[in-house]
Amino acid sequence: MSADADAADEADIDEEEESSEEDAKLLDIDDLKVHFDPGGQIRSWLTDTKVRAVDGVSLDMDEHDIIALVGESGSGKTTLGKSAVGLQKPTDGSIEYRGHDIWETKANPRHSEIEFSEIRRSMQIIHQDPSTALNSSRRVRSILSDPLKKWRPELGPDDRMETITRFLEYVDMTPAEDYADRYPHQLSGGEQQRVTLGRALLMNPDVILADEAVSALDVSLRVEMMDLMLELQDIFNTSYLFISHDLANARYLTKHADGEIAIMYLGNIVEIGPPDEVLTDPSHPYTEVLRWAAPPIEPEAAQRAIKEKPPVRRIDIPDPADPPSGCKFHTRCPEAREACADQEPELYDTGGEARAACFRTLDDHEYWDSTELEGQDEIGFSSTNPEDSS
Amino acid sequence: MEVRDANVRFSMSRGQAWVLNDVDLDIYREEILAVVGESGSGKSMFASALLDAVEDPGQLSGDVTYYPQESEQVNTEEITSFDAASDDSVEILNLSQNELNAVRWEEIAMVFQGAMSSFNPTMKIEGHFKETIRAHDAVMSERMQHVRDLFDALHLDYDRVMKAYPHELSGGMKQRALIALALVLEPDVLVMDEPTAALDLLMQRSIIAMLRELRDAFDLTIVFITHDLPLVAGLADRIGVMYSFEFIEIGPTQPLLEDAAHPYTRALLRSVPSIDSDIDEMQTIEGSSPDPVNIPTGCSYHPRCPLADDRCEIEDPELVQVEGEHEVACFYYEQSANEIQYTLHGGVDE
Repeated sequence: MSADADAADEADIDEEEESSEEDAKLLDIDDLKVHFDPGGQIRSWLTDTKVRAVDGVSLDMDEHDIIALVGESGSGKTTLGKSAVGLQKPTDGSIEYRGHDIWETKANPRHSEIEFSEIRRSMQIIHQDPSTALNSSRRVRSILSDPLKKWRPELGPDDRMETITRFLEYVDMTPAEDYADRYPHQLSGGEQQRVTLGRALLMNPDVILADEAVSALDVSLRVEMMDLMLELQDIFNTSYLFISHDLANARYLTKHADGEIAIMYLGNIVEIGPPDEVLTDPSHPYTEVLRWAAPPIEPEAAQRAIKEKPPVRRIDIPDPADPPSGCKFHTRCPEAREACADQEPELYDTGGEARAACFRTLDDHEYWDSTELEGQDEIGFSSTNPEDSS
Repeated sequence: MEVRDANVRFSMSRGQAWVLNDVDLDIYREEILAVVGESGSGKSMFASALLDAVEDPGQLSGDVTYYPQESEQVNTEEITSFDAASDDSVEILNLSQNELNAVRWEEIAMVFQGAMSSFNPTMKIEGHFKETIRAHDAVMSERMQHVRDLFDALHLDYDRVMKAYPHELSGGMKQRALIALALVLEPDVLVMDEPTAALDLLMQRSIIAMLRELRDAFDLTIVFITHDLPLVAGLADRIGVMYSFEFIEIGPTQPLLEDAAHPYTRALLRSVPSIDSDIDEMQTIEGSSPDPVNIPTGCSYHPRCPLADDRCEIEDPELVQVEGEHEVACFYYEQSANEIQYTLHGGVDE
């Protein structure tokens, strides 16, 4: 197949000038913070509280890499993803693309060696809901020709059509001529998502942010979509920042591509490492919670699992506008002690390749000497409400 | 409950679409039945049929019979069209609109997928409960006490949630409040259509665990509709698998998952990513689900089935017994185990 040749052809638009920067990381996120003002103008004047959606995250990404961000809603995973691809301006911290600070480049275009639009092009995004990501009144052909008109203006109509056909074939939509003439509503959910993936790849991006890209699909179609993403990763040499609340999907993707899983909780990465290590031997209590949430399918094990209490003390996530002190997880953590309420942990080495933000990974931390938090049993799962004890 | 010959048809410009095709099914008292299928397999239509809630222009035909609990006296003034022969069974499809309104919620309640849109955004949660209680002429104080019990069982803070507007609650809290609202009039049957699909996995699992407790505490019969097979593996007593608007396999959870008989169920089990499964073993199902206007002749799964032969193209298989209550609609189910192999992984405690 001439796929590699084609991809190389797509790639050489910009590869030459970047060769000197090969040593720089593809994406280098350093102590990133994104804070939001709550409510409207007046409320933000009246109060100092900020919603700290992302609160000091550092993350590196190499070429041909997959990082899966996993967390509950409100953990800040989407905000982190958007900042990483330059869609959300950070409050503090920096994001460097091949050694160029993204927001510096945007603010001072004259002083930078690389154009902001170039950075934008190399970072694409696939959203969760493909039916709203595609313009419902335009055919697949015209949806896909827009990015080409902007980025490959040298192509004539025939070349453009040929490129579109080729990309539709990449994403397994054959006969491509037939699909090109359809409107989005004439496609199934899986096909729509493949069009958005094809559209992202048309730009020959270095990074694709896949924000819950398979969550809206049927369970039986998810593996198919992830297989396609992996196959195209090899052809186009892209990296994925894969956001999901489902550990099973994150595991499937990262395990196949030798990537990493990063677990997020209230704006911080609490554990990061290779999928096998993070999932079979979690160091952070929160990872165990997520592990519990992914059910086994073997019926006897499932029967047992459903009777197990979740390893958390409260099932609802705290308000991100008013996060707990110290370790943010301590209000739900079954292992929490006094020290956790006072001090905030950093990411520590766990002995393996993974790193986790929990004092329990340190043998000599004062955690081990401090007392357990009071009221632990009162707010257990089976009685969130004290009156319930009857 | 009994469903007999339930058909739902939509007339479309492209022709008649059968979105529920001769479905026969019994639902036992106090069981949890999970209905599993891909999008477009007719599982939501099945839920609507149970309540005669199929929307126009859909046409529902067949029988849906509801047998109330013996101890409980159904309000005979409201429901007059009792079948003379079977004195206390209710033919759902023969009820007038008023009678139907009484049966819904009081006997059979339903929770839909989008909890976000089920509440009126300008009304406090308390208002929704009071409105429902008033509309069904129930005793307010008694019902509100019941709501307190429900909220405890669902781990909701009664005072906080009642005084909140829907937008002030998280998705998981809203969904739990909605379950409480559905149960406020103590129905016998709760039909849930993808009740957890829009939620986080952690919340999904918590709700599943709570449902089991609710069933035991309030003697409920639950019909749980989902596309997520692993989600219900621990919850359901029985699982029915739908494909192309029919049940193709139905049986108690354990034999159905461990020894799935239908090639489709086996392929489905092989394609579902689970946290413990061996990733190299996973395979997707070839092809796509059929178009409702143009269902393949014979067995509707034959174009995707590795076991299919000429007979499958012509004849439509009936549900036949595999063992006990485990039934399957396939001519060659005995060979499916060899053709499509899978292993279930479940070791939570390795």
